[in-house]
Amino acid sequence: MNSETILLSAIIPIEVAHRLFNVHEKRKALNIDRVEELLSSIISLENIQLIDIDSRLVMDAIKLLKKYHSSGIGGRDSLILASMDRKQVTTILTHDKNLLGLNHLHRIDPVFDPPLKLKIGENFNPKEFK
Amino acid sequence: MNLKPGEKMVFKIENEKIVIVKALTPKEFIEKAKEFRKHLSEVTDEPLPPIKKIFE
Repeated sequence: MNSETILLSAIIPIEVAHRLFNVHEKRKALNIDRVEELLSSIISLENIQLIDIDSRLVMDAIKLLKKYHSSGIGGRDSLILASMDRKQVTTILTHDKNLLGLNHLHRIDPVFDPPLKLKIGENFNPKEFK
Repeated sequence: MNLKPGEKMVFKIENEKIVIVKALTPKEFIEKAKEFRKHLSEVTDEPLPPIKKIFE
């Protein structure tokens, strides 16, 4: 994380905010201003490159969704994949079992201990998913 | 704003205005993330797993 540039689809901080704001609905002690501040910090990180969602990215995402929807890839996933394609990024950090199944990517799942690392071409065994 | 060599700046929207601020370094961000985790752990019943080395 310290040296590499990290590509961040604009949908990710929005999704994280959505999840944490839902937590706030149940746990009012969670300070939503702090959530907003944290997500603002992610966007301000010097080695983050935020990929905006524009009309071309939306069309690219729809094409990818058409290709992969039968593999369980969803709308947000397809936006992330389209962002990666735009910048020719081939490594993804994810805990999504459908994204882990895409063997044309180098995949890292940090939830596994040690982190699961799948090289390009290597198949993911969904039975290993936890 | 004084920037040292290697430091970057970013545009942010604050109070409906575009402002230029110094970009956070990964080290600064990790400190902020740790502070947030501490707050999050105060409002959840289950202990949070430690930050993985991969993120540091």
